[in-house]
Amino acid sequence: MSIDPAVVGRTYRSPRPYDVGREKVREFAESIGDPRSDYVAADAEAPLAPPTFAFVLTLDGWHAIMDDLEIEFSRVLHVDQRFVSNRPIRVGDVISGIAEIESVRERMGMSWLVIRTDIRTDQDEHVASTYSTILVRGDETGDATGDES
Amino acid sequence: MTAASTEPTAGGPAAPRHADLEVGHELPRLVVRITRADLVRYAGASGDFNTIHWSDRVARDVGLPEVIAHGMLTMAQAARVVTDWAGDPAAITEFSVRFAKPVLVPDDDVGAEVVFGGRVAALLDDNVVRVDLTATCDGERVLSGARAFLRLS
Repeated sequence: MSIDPAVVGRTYRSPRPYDVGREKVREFAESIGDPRSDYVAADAEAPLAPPTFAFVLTLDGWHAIMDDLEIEFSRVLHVDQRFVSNRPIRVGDVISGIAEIESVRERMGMSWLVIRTDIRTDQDEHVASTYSTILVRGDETGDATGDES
Repeated sequence: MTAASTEPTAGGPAAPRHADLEVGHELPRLVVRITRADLVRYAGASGDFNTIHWSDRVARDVGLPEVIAHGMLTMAQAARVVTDWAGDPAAITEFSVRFAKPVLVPDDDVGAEVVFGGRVAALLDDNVVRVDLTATCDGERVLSGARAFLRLS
């Protein structure tokens, strides 16, 4: 499939503010095999979320973009990812992601999108930004990353 | 575990100091095994339910040999090399990776083994250190250009 370059610059805001919960952070830390005390200490007032937790907000933006551009998730491959943090996300933060399509390219019959997501608190504090490149495979090129060249 | 303490380095090795480090310093390696059950758990925790991470049928339909691990799970595990060493996850100011090759996760009890490593690549101003990371599975690099910037004391 090809994606109209006119979508560059479109922005998508989280459907609702995300309330960072203690048990969610614990669940996430355990799922990555890293339940260190910074993330899960029961007596800490505001445990830290792991460095890649911001991706939970990034995903909201991906889903909004996939809905908007009619992209099937199973055709999406994650190419690269970058996080730039002003400070860690903490339990108790109420945050939103604002995703923007930064670029669209067509290459090898596939679409490559760069998506930037700014993560801000309900007090409008900029917590972090995430940058993702994703690749969308065409419908007809099922073996696009196979042996064809 | 010192779960009762909120001190990041309590009981652990001393946190690295910028002034004591040299370029080339190797961080302790981390070996992680990933099974299908881990992918299910990460899908639920992260909200990433892409079918290619749990259905061989869909994975093959889109040209993959079988189910692959979430790149973000591999990235999260790579971060551990840095946070285990630095002692303080809040020290990370920037972290980036490229997913060079998917981690194939077979439908068995063994799963896939990924070996992570890191080395100090640059000592920068303001007590910032750049750590370059590696991740290999079956001898092949699954991450490339993986690097983290940390502000140490």
